[in-house]
Amino acid sequence: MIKKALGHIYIKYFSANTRLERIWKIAQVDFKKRYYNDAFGLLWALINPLTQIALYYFVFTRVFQRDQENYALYLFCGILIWLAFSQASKMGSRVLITKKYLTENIQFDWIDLYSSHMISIFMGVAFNFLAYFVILLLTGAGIGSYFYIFPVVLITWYLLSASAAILLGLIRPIFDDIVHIWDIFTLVGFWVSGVFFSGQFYYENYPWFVHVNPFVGVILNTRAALLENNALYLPLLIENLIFGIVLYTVSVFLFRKFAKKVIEKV
Amino acid sequence: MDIAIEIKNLKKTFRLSNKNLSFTKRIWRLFDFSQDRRFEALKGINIDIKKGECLGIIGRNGSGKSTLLKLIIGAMEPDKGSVIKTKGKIIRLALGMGFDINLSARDNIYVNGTILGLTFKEIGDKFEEIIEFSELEDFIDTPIKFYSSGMRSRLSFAIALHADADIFLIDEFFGDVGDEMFKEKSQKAFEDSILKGKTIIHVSHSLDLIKEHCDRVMILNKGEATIFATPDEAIAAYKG
Repeated sequence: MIKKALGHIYIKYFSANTRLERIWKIAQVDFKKRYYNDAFGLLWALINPLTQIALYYFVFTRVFQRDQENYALYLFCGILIWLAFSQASKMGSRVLITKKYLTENIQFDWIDLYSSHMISIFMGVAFNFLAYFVILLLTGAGIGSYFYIFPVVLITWYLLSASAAILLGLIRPIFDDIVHIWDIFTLVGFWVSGVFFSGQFYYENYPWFVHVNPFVGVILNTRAALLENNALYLPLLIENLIFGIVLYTVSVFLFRKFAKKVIEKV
Repeated sequence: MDIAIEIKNLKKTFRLSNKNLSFTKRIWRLFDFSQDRRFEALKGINIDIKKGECLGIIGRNGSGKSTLLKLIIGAMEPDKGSVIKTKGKIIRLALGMGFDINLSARDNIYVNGTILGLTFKEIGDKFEEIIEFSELEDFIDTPIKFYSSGMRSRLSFAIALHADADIFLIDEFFGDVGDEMFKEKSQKAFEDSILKGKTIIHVSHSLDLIKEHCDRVMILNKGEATIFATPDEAIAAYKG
């Protein structure tokens, strides 16, 4: 079914445009490589977040006695967004290394490799969100009142994740330790980026932090879009989107300036 | 005749870093490059390559031949100088290169094809010919990592042949292109389809191939172009 849907998207939007076809093809084979060779294939994309959700759900509702409506779905939104960012950025740090076989032999715009990378990550995210909606239906919980903002949230996520992937991709060939630093960063980020806490918590205790960490806004607004009774933070969403656009522009500029120098180190 | 590639004062130096440094020295090296050894791979190359010309490049290992090709294709940036190219597709043919070994021949054909600027439809139209030419009919969906080096070379040659690129950079390619029969077939296809009308830069240690295919030959010696001459003259000078 997924293959059929992807095929339909391709025919409608990508057919006969060589650049889009290239981005699509590389994304498709990356996705295939990531999941199809494993016995459980795409299920792994689901098993990882579901296990984490089950674990944190148990800890927070049973151990810490947290009383929050639809807490599993509440966690699902945040964990999905953060894991996707973490995966996009960490795997993105290797794009120039793994695709050297192409950059050395054929001329093309290398930034396409990152577009493909992000699309391949997004395919996994889309699968996860599909699972989210199935659970939403099964549990009878309602969708958020601000569902229409979800595309903007996703664009913001894309811009922030792609920027991190591009910048890490530039740093990693010259400073391999960045992977370990980034692991620590994403671990800390997981706990402070709104996965477990409400907007009210941040605005009452650390109002400055929502402006420092754009993922707080992305996660809070994902919940506003996908789960009932969650508040919308529109100014924060606009702020995050503008930050994402600026960061992405800077990342692409730096990539165009330094990518060829960096790849010599690979 | 029109110029296909114009190379002006092309210089490239590599920094060779020592990996066996202590922790503090490795950190310091991130900010201070002055202690790295430097290797001048190319020392100011100037050359115009005409459209449809086949330029041979010969030289000893480490003379800068592959670096020059990587600079032409844009996989590296020069320290100084420039490479000006006419519009058109450029492909570098080198042994076992251009493939993701975890992907099948089918996927690699599509990935390479789209990067070369072919649409899915064009690739689909040429797919059977590519597979037939490379004689890999029974291994289309086998990951490349299970291929022998000869099979990989056959596939990359078949893709390049059908990709309809305008400029070919051939980097020691024909040495291990498969068995004798395929070698003959590929050389014939090379002469019929690529040599006629395409611009070629052919790097090889095989002086016979250089003599047979090239219009002009450049000798590279320690990053410097020492001689531009006809194949016979250049080969005689190289041997002498």
